[in-house]
Amino acid sequence: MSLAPRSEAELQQRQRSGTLRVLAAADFRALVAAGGLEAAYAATDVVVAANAEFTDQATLQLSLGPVDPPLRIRGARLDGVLAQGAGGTAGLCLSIGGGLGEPLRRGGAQVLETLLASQEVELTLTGEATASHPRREYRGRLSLERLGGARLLLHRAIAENGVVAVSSAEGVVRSPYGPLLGPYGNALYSGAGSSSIGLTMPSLAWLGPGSPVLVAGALGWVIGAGHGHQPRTRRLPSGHARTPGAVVAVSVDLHGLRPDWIRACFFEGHGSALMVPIAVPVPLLDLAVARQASIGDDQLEAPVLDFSIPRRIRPGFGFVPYSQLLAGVIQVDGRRIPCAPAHSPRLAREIGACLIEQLQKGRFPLRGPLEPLSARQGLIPLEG
Amino acid sequence: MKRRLTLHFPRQAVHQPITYRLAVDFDIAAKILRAQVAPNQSGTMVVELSGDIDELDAAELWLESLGLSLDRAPGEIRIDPARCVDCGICASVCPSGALSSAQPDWRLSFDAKRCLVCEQCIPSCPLDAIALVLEPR
Repeated sequence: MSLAPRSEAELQQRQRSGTLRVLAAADFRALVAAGGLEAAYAATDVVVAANAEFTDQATLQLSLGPVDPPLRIRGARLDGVLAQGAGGTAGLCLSIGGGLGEPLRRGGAQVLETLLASQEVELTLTGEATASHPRREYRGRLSLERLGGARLLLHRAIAENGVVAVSSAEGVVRSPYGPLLGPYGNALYSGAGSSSIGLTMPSLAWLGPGSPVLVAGALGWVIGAGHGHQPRTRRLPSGHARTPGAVVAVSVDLHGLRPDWIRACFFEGHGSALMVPIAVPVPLLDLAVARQASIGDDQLEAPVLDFSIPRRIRPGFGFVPYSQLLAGVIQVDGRRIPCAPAHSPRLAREIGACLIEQLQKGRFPLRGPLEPLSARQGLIPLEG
Repeated sequence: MKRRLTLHFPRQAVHQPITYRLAVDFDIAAKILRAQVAPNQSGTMVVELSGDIDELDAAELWLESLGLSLDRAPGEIRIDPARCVDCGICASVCPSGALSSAQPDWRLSFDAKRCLVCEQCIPSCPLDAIALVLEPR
């Protein structure tokens, strides 16, 4: 039984020869529980971890073809949803969120869903007339096939850990995770615990610019630290984050996304969002990495935050172990609060299985980042 | 409180200003969800009545005294499995436990017999996967 470290090149060689041994994070933990860490490490090369979470922190980046006569884009709408010109005659940026104003319940997420369903959206452009770009308006229809380039930029594609949302106020609080019944009527948690990416791979250590990830069936690329990246967060002795911690941003081509995996949705009182399943490989390069990937839900925890208090730093009720969250009831200040995942464990499992198959068949690149994630803290408060 | 009713109008009662009388005489707001009523024909109307519980009972008696027959079946909750992602948000707001999901497969389970048709789950679903069906199978 070899417990020697493995290099990235060795694992790539195994992948080429069709002998790469890949397990889902939950199956690796079961293997550790059954036969011990050393035996599980010796029998496993790569663990696959996956998330399927809701997010409105994302942008569509669309590259249009030229109109004649040329139009320099200053304003745009897609199916009535406001977009911004990204400079010049071709670029559009469209936020995934929105839908609380006009058009009601439609934001960039719904535009994306329409495009992925191979349907057309109505496009209106306004420009500022210049000698070389004299056109002021354009109205037409747009489909995914007619877009030269289309990317989804996920600003918080993967966070190390999630949070647990509760409300101490009377009535219903419409949170980004869903309705919170108060006081303390329910709890919604965003992280999946031990099967999640960030709690299988603390600090998102093998992710950085250039890392491939599987996003809703398409090959996406980590482009660097994402919104709210806090690598120097509070951590357990095992290295696992106690708060959301490190965050990566991912860019993915729309043309490969599977519409049955990436879903547009709308949260009452909050707006449009996307359900985004993502899976990543966690190469077991040495026993320390394997040990971190084997930590169980009883040893991992998430912060409980009061979402009825709309402040930059929300009051907290301490931390709860994922074993309680997954069992459906948490104990907070002596109260028993029923809880539910505000994410999709099923879609996470499905995309994880897809990545395992792609890794075993050599269809997914197994490679580390070009450089590590930034060590700079991302949450610098705006004063005033 | 709210109560959902299907009102079946006999031909002779179609001309009655039902919703006006409910508001004036019983202080009940009648939200018409569906209606098929024409002059000199029998008709059907699905309404959601909001008001005091005693007034609701009195209003039902008054409606029956006019010759209307009342169907109190409240409809049923239906989940579209093609849209549902089994996130469980709906289960967290379900007061009766009719909606639930649990380890290890996390598939959303719906027990229609326990459902109160309170409809709290409908706006809670970000995928629009839950609907109220007024004519259950």
